[in-house]
Amino acid sequence: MTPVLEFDRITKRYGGPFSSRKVMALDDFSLTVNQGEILGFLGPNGAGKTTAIHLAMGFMRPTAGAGHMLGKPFGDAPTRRRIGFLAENVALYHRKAAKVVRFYGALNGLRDPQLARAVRDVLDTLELNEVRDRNVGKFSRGMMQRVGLAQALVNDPELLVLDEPTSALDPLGRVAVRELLLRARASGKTIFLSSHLLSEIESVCDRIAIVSRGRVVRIGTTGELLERADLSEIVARGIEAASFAGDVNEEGLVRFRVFAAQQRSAIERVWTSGGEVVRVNPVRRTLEEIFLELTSKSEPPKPGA
Amino acid sequence: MNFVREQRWPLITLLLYVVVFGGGIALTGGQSEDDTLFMLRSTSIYGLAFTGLLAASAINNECRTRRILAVLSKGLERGKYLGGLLLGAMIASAVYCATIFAVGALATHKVGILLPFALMLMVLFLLAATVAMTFSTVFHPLLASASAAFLLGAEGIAARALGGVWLDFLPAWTLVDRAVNFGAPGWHLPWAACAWAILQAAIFWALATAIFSRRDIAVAIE
Repeated sequence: MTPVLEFDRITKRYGGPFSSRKVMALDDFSLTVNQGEILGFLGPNGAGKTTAIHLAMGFMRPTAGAGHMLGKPFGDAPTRRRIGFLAENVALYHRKAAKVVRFYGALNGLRDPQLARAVRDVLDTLELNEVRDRNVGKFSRGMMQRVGLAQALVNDPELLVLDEPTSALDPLGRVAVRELLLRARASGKTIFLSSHLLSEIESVCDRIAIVSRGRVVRIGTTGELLERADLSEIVARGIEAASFAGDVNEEGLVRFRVFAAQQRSAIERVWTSGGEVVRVNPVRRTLEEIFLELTSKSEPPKPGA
Repeated sequence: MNFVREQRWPLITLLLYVVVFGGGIALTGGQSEDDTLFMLRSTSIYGLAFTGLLAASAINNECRTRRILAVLSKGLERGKYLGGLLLGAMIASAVYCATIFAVGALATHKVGILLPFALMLMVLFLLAATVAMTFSTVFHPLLASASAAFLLGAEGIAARALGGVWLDFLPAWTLVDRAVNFGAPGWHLPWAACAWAILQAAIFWALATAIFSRRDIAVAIE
């Protein structure tokens, strides 16, 4: 796999030499986003997600370590022409929607007639054509976010860096963005997606990285993260639920959990009790459970770290 | 142009002052030439302060509104971005100078001397804007404005003390002096001082670009 975005042991400390308030935002942070994948970036507030994104976009410089985007060091301006970026709480110049998108497209070096076509297409995709001549200053947050997405997509980017792209959208808007992301992946684009919406991350991402206190605390495919390899769930019939510390489900089957190492002996106990094993599966947890487990262990960043 | 649009209300207020004050003098007639010259001199100094404050607050405004993120996420070098902000401040100044020229021409009918005056003001405003913007790459806008005023003031004092060619090499004194003495007998455009001021502005712009390219863009996370 070719890395499209790479953080290599990056540390970012806020606060200058004379500042009384120093915060370690990222601490030896390493992460790789591979070509053609959607990587979900999760973490509690203050975990360092936005700092990592801002470093990647070249808005700030790391205190230590280095990073690469499309093979070039972070902050390389010509490389940013191949990136689409949407900031959390997007803020744009107050002009007509079409003119705003056109302005940001032009900043990426697009010129007519390609620019005019790109603006028309992206406004169509995000269902903004009806409001193309309205000033974005009068838009709701959700509409503003759509225009933000339009400016991120207008240059047909290879890599999309999205910080909370659906936070202000209604459920219909979220579904539309989810479909848009899946279409973008199908066309070979790479997406680095930071979001607090766990269901959204779970439904669209190929891999998930959970960050806490400036470090990646867990990374893996969605399946790897959700399935617990150390715990199995056995469903059987013809046994006493109480003898297996299980419960009876709506179909009258007994369901109980055992450690993977004890799975074989548990199955043999079912058979010797005269029962029948219906199915054995690794225990699947929700992303919320994993997120809470990993992030609640961590304390907030230490001042002066 | 986006920058000018965002600053349109303070600019319009200042322009209204020039138009109403200068237009009043022109239309009521009967006023002495001294009144008209006083108006032109005072409005030129207001313009200098306005341009300095506008340039000093440009980066801070862009960061505060978070608009800087969407712009700098594109394939744009920071130097060009800074150049765009400076150009915006200069467009606002050009509109202001054109208004002074038009109102002055209406009131005095001395187009021949007003044109070099307006050009000199543009150069003076450019110098003030680049110095203020350079300080604003590291300081809060108010501190940047004060620092720019202090630096240009110190430059003026040094030029006056040294005299001779230093009045051109360190042009702040000469340009401000010509602005506040506009219309005095023998008034002419200080070409050499203007040329040095443009060179000094270019040096400050390069310095601002070098500093701004290395600093973190800190925006408030809501």
